[in-house]
Amino acid sequence: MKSKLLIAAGIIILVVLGVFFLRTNQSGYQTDTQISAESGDTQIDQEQVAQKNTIPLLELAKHNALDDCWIAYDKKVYDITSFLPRHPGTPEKILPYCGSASEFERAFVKQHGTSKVSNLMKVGTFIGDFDVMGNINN
Amino acid sequence: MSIVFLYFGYKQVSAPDTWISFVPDAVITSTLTANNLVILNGILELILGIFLLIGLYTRFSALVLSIKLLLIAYSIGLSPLGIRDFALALATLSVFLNGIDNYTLDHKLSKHAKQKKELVEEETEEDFDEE
Repeated sequence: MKSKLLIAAGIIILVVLGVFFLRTNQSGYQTDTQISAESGDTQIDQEQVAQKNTIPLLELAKHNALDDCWIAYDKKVYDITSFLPRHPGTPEKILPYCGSASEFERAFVKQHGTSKVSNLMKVGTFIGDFDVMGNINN
Repeated sequence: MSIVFLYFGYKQVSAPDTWISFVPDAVITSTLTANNLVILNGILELILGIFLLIGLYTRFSALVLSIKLLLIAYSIGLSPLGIRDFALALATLSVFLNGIDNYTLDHKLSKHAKQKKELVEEETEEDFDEE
């Protein structure tokens, strides 16, 4: 009985440690690729930022289709149309949140936590800053 | 059966993103995100898969895995995927119903423990006889 428990405990510890190392290595790899991808996109982003695009909610709300999907996260607007077909949970899961800001943010955090925020920025094309004051005025 | 669980367990811990769409909304909380749930489920499948492979806590592992698969099959519903999970759940349940066989670690360890117990009992009887 004692030996059975010891073997079981050993297996559990090995599996948990293995998964921990696997996840740590993967997140390290992802961070590296994200840094390289982000540095590659820097020029494009800077050009867009230079235009000082501010997107009000009315404009954001227009892009609410499968072939034209904008979302706002952390006061920044991204075009994620090209990512929709690649979403593991089918594009239809994101569709209700296209053209939204707080609704998308809530649903995203609920589903993925905050660990996937960098992935979102990687797959989405930065459009401009979300114009919160403009929304209030409008 | 254990190889099936080990394969899916590994897939879940290595790429949880591809599995999160299968997590029902009802079980997701603010602290236990879909991503974490998939990883925890993968760890459980890996541990119980290894237990099934070597035959350690065979009946317990088979019962837990079959109940889990039945719940998954129920949540997926009547679809090819749901039917496949239902069949896998029944196959795992049959391991539970059949119990341990001669090739499991459970059997070997219980045999070893039984022999040890018999030896102790024999020695005690001999001691009584001598007295």
